[in-house]
Amino acid sequence: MREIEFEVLRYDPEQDQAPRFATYKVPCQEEWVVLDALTYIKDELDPSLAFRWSCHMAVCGSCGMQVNGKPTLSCKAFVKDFPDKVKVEPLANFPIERDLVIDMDDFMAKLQAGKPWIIPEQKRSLDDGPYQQSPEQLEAFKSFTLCINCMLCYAACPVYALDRDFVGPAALTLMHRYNTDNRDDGWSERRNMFAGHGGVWDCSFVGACSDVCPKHVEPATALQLGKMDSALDYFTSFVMPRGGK
Amino acid sequence: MSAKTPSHKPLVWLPFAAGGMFAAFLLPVVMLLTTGLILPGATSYAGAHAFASHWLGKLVLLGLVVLPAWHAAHRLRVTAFDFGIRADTTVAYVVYGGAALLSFLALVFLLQI
Amino acid sequence: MARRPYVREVNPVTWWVSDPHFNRWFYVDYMLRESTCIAIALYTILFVWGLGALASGPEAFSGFMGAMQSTVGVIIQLILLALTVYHTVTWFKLAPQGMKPIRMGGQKVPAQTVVKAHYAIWAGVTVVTLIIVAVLAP
Repeated sequence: MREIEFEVLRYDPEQDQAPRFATYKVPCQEEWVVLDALTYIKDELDPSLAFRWSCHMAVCGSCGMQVNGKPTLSCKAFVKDFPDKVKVEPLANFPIERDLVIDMDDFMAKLQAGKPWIIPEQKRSLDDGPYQQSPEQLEAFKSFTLCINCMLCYAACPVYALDRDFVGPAALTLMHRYNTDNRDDGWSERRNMFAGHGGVWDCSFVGACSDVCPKHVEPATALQLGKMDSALDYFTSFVMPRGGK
Repeated sequence: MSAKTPSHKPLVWLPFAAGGMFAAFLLPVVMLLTTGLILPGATSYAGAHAFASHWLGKLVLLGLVVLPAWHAAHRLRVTAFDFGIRADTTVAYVVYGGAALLSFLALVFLLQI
Repeated sequence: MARRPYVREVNPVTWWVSDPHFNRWFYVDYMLRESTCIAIALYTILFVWGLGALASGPEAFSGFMGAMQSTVGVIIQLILLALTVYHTVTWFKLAPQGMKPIRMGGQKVPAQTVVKAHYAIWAGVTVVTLIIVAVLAP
């Protein structure tokens, strides 16, 4: 048992003009994570505290926040790794809806606009049987499928912080994941968003996205590979009118 | 979101990437040589002139200007943005124009040797 | 109840030093890495200047090299060299993150091995360059 002082950002859109910090002293069990401490605050100290969470096991991607300034899943942030003072804020680079809850509308719109699903060359019926995919073909994009949409990469990305038009690490990574899938033929439908204004070319390879990613998706790699794909597409489109894939 | 077309950035990104690789491997040793701290004979007029007289030497010297110049130009453009300069189009003209000028001057000088 | 999301402004000039924890070193490191291009740009200008001197004849060239190899010239070049070496180190560090994983015998080559291979090639390029220069130099 150790008492930790949590400095938590509070914002009540109905009362506050701007966010403020509230301090809570929490008697933490040795094995607790920051999310447990927030639950303790809500249960025992201040039931008005708002935060998102669901699975408590780094799968759902709901509980991302800035813990001591770093984008973190609060269910994965063990208190034993932190000093006696911990600052908790909502994920950076997103508007604050209330307390630790962010407004994710921008991310959701971009995620969907990227058409993150298989767009086949020809529609297949059930009679055509299943798609074929070799282990090598799967390996080409497998790590990029592991994203849980927790948005930590957006909170870490200075390009997104400075330019709201940037589609951002997770959404572009997912687009690349489908572009790379051998069952997919949707490059031309995604191209203008992927390789146009706000797309992969606005990424300056800071690498913070990969650094904070809790699932080792490596968005920075996906965007670098995406640049190579779209460079190839750019130059082949001069040679062949319809381009590569 | 407004209508979008594929960016022309590949035109400047490929030289940036190639130049970055080239600069990483080769520039340190070249810099060491021009300080004269090692193999001072290499920077004598006779040595440098002989090297630059051969077409292969010209090609190497031209590469030592063009690739790092385009690498630095593109990265300067990004860095300017990161330091808060928002006049991206103006910055692009200045940095790429500078790289083009350096490349052109290097070519002219080498052809005179 | 109407929504009233609060937007935290990001300072476009000081963003990379504004956060006291994670951000300070990660983003400062990034800015330093990107700023190495200033050193490379300056050196390239010096290099073109040298080519101009070489084209003008022995006097101009020895004047140029005299300045380059004066105490001030050497100090400036050593500063540019240090920044360029930092460019090399960071470029190699990012290399495995910017490419498809290399496979050998069905196994993924670890990122650290890719980085080490870059250092080996760098050492090789440097030694070969020095040998060629030593052979050619009068």
